[in-house]
Amino acid sequence: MKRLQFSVMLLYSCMALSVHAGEQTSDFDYFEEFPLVLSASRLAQPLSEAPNAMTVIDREMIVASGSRNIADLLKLVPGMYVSYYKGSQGFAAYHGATDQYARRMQVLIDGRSVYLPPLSTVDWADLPLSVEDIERIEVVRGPAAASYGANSTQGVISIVTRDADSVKGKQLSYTHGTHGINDVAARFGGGADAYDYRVTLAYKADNGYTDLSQLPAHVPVTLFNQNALLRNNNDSNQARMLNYRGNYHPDAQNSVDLQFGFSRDVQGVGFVDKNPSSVNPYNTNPASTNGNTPHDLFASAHFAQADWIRMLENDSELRLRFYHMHLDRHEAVNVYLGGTYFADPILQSVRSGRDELEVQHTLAWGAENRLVYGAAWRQDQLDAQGVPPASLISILGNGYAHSLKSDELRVFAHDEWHPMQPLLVNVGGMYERDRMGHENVSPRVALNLHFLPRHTLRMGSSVAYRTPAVAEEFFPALQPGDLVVTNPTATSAGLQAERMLSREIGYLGEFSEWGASLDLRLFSDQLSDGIYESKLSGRFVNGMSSELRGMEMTIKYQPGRNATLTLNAAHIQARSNCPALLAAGDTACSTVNPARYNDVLAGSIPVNSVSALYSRNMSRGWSVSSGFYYQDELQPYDRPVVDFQPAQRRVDLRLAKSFHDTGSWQGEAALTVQNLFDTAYTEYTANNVFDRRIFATLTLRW
Amino acid sequence: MTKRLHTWWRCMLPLILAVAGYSQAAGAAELKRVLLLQSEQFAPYQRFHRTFEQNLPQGVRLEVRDMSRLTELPAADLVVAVGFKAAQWAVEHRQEPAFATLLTRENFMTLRASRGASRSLSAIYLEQPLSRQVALIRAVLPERKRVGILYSNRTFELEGLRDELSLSGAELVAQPLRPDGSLAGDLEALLAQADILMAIPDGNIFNSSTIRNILLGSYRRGVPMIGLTAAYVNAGALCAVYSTTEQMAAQAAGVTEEFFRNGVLPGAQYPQLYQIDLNQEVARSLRLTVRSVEALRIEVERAEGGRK
Repeated sequence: MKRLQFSVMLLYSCMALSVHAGEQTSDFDYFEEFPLVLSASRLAQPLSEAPNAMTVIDREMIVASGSRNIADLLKLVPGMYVSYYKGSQGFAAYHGATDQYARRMQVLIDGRSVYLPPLSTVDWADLPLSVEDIERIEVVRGPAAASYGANSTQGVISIVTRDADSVKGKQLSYTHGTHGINDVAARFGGGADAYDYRVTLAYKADNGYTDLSQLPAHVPVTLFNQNALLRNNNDSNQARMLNYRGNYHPDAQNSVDLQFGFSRDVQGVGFVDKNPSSVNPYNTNPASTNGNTPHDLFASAHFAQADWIRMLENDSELRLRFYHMHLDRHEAVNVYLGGTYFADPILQSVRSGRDELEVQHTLAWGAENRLVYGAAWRQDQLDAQGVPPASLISILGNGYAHSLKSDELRVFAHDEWHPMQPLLVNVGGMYERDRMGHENVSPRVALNLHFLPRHTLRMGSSVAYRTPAVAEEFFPALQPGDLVVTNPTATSAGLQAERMLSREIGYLGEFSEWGASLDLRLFSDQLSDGIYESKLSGRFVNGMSSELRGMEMTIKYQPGRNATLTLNAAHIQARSNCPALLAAGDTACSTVNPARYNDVLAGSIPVNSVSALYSRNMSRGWSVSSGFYYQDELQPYDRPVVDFQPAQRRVDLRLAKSFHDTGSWQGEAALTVQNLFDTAYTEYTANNVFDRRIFATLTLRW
Repeated sequence: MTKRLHTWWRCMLPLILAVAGYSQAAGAAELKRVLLLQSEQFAPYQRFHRTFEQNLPQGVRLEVRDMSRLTELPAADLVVAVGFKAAQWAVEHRQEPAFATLLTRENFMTLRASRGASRSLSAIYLEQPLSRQVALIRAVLPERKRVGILYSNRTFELEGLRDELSLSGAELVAQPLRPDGSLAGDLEALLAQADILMAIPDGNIFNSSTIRNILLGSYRRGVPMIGLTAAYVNAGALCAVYSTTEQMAAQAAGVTEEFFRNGVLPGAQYPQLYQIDLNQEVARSLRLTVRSVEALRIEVERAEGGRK
């Protein structure tokens, strides 16, 4: 009613304004009509009303952390394991089973799923997105398949990029540091009344981990067999990217967001260690073979996305989203076999494409309910081929060329119901069906009780599924370091989706008199029908089960108007049926580190972890921030005992000075030191030693 | 159909008016005559007219004209001008006591400075008193004490606002719009300092094409905006105190009654009746715990009452 009245007024006031534009009078400022800017889709759901535990890493935290890589930001999420396989191949896993592919997290960028089900991984290095273009990262801790669909069994990482209108003018920044760190970024943006845009052009390069000449201190020489890796002389990374975001808002009802991006990345991969040589005294086996000699992996990615939001009557809104994305990775691998290099390489390539169309309607019905429902259709395409040189066909066969297509349909609904003032009920569900015949219903219910003002108790339960990856169904093994290839001749027929049952009790309290808030969560996650590679059959089968119980905590404290402290801690107790599988003769669960762990899955999850971030703005444009990261020891699930990862401790420090008002120029100079005390801990593999890294960034705006 | 009816009325109206005028002049000599003069045909002015007419006391005859139809203006005991243009015209061309409505205090001051000294002139301002606006800001977010405003060259009661804020224990952070800079840059600079953004009636800054970026910018920084009207709250401001056209029309009818009772116009005044709107969705999303509209109203009334 009110809206109708004002829209009539709008018509008149537009006429009136055109008449009065030149006058000095400000009477008409009181009759000006405005479009609805902060609509339901823009407004974030407050943590105290979310059906899941959530962590939000905002722009200020992103800057304060000093991180150059997106994956590193996730260290600020309690219970998150972040590591790197090679210098630039990051992965993040929530609640463990820390294998290189981190197959159980959904990752979205502005609603676009970049988790690649065919490959069953997220290629963090090849997202055409720079850290500086991220507005915030919202991490749903716990399954959220009811909202985000399959592959959200452990949680959802939702990256929100900066709006089209967030960059005005031009900006140039240059970063230079140790480990070959060399980044350049140019940003510019502008717009008119109904249109805004921003563009980022960036180049990012580093040399990865330090090339080791001796073993890390904690690794006994006796453990270093021919599988062990030492040299990191080929894990550099050079990425180039372009990212565009534009927004067109012709009137109060419509808003169209258009985004596209390209990236091209060259990563050094492969290992020299596997070849017996003078530089590698630990590998003296002359019969050693190396299917992964040092070489370059070329990755090109692009995407285009359009979001149309239309406001309807009664605060309801309709959103239509379409995106297309494509990732192409190819490499030429020399084979080292029986003491000789073969001159001609194997050529391997994987192309993965995705198109998705989603429609969603948000509406308020009654004063107590807000309903979101919609449907989506998605198509994934995977083409993979490997071509061995003629000289190797007799040994390796003819190679392969396969292509797979899969469609997925999903329908979802979620209702947020306030039956009475202190109580909030979130009920939702999603139905999914894909071409491979997987059909899942993922329900969720959560109760939020605001038992006192600013104090909320949350109880939730949900079931989530993870559909088997193409690689799991059509390839007998995931080969670390190699491209994932599809081989329909070795299928794991009859593979079903994994099932996760998650229950939690959460507490959220705001203590505004102390400027503090507390987020506490007790959880239990039960995985059943877990997919693993059975050594008995050589195929992927359902049959792993695990249970995780634990506690997570986040404290936020603002000691003053210019300082903030965030403290995260997680404690996780895990157990799985691995010992039983082992007793039944399946060596997939054979513990590589019996002295420490009889349950290899449980051993891959750090029992305790802590992260903290403190930042302070001081006078004259100075600001200082510091991050602290601690993680208990663990044994990566799919790595040999030599890669046992002792407890990590790391302190980062960032010091910045901004220059304002010097003419029309502004700028900032920042110095970041990662691992200030040079604790030289290892990440995922024993040769990935993270030693002190220092880099300086100069940014100019005009 | 409607159009034809309209045309019919146009033809017949002078006749009807003439007949009615004759009968009234003959029948009720002591009838008070009010001339309502609208600056233009504008929906809010027409709503003002409707409510004003409904609230007029018995024995008042109302004539309504707008600036496009200034011929055959009848004599009146009181001229009520709606909008600045009408007020300006009335001051220049009419001798009767007059009061102006739906115009800002600043515009009224300009008029008064130029009026003939002999004649009584009063007004109901369009805007809320600063004390009321400040009372709302303090009531809705008592912990937030740095109130930011963005202003262009236009005159605004900067010092008045600064005093009013410091009286209530808050401070003003004022950022001028730099001629060579961008609105986004100035807003960014302001939002780094302020923890509340207050909209002011400055069409150079707050208009339908800039509001989007201003609201989005303030939302991103977690700085809520206090609006000027219901339209601001609708768009995404946290709250606003304002008076509806109907409320101001009812007050104008009251002033008319008072004039005919006492024979003198009361002094120029701010709106007495007002409304507070709150955008709960925005409050929730910014994780602000705010009181109900009713509680805010009591608080604002208490703060205002205490100052009288």
